[in-house]
Amino acid sequence: MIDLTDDQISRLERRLARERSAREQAERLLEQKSRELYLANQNLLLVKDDLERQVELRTAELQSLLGSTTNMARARGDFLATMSHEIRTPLNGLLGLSELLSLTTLDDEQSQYVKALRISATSLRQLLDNVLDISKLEADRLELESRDMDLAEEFEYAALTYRPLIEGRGLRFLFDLDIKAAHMVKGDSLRLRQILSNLLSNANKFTSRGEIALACRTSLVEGRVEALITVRDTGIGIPTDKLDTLFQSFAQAEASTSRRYGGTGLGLAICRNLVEAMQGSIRVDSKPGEGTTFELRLHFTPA
Amino acid sequence: MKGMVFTEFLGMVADRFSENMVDDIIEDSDLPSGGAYTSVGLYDHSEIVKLVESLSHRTGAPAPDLVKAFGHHLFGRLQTMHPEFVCGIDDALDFLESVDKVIHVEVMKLYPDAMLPRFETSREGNRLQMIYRSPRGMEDLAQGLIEGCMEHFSQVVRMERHKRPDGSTEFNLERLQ
Repeated sequence: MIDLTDDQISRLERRLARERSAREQAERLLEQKSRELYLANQNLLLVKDDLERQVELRTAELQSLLGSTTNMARARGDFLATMSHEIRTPLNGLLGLSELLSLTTLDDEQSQYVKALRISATSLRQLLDNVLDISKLEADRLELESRDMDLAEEFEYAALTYRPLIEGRGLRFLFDLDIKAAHMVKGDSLRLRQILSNLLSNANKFTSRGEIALACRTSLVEGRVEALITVRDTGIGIPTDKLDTLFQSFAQAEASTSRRYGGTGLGLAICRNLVEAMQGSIRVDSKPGEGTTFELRLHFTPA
Repeated sequence: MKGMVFTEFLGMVADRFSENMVDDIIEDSDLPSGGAYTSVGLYDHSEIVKLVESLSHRTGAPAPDLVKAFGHHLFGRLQTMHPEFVCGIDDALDFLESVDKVIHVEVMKLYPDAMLPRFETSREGNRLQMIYRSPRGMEDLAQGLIEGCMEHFSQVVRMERHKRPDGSTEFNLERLQ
């Protein structure tokens, strides 16, 4: 037992009172801070709910916008397809009649007119076919065939068709086929011809001197046939800033192009869509004044 | 002012003098808080001034010396409690430069209502100029803290201190080794 003086006892009592008061203060502060924390948490929850609601709302808005845009695109495609189809019927009538007309007795002047009529009607039908193709391709409605096909035959056919046209204009035509690895594949020969024909007729259209080269090399990659196809020309070339939109529908490099060279700007869009439908890729490399090279990579199942 | 400054001050008084001295200066000072401090509370700045005056009166030591001694003590305590701020720094001047830019920024995150002094620094090699600005005028405490910092890094630094016309205090430090 320690004896304490009254003064010491009083001092200890005061110290105890002070400590107690400090403790109570700390407890009050703790309680106040916990309440503040709780309220801040509640507030955060409200903000979070509000943000989630906003995200949902915006997402729904975007979805509906996307839906209506898709519907509009589909309606446009359907309209184009229907119109082209409807126009083709009377046009075929015109073509047939001009054919018949050419078989009748005509003087020279009349023959010239009928010839011009047939050329106009034929190019109109080609244009309509292209419009039909692009609307089917853009609506994913084009079905590719998968039949046995000989790549050698397809390329030789293309060379056979285009060589006289190209050489007839005083240009060189180079043809290089290296398909030893594989040439019998399953695919859609009509569509492959369409791609080659588009690229070769473009090359021919935009080249006035030099050469046009068609090449195809096949290799076996993981059990599939990969065909690397190039169509190269020494033509007018394409400005760099126009390369990005080159494969879009109705996009020709310059507005004046269609006036000078003709065409609607559908050919390359069709090519790209067809190549993509075949799970392939197409790229272009070009220098204005020097020429253009299209490079395609297509994959086929071996036949 | 943060309660931590009061609890540390009274802790130092208890260590260097006695618990009775703590009781005595609290009772001499007639404090609004009654001297019942917690480190997390906030108390009026005038209370620390009164406590220092009472301690000076009872011990006969000049108040500025007591405040500087408290600065030494406080630096040691702060670096024990928050070693992360000293970690990776091996030079007193580097550390002092970081006070305003790093440490006070962190303090403000925890205590948005804290009223912190400002330490503007400009550094040239071995020299550092610090300008202390605070409405509380605790430049003695600032000096004690700076000295505590030099002790911590075991560096010899020459210090000059003078008052500027705008009321702020300038510390010119030069590291000698």
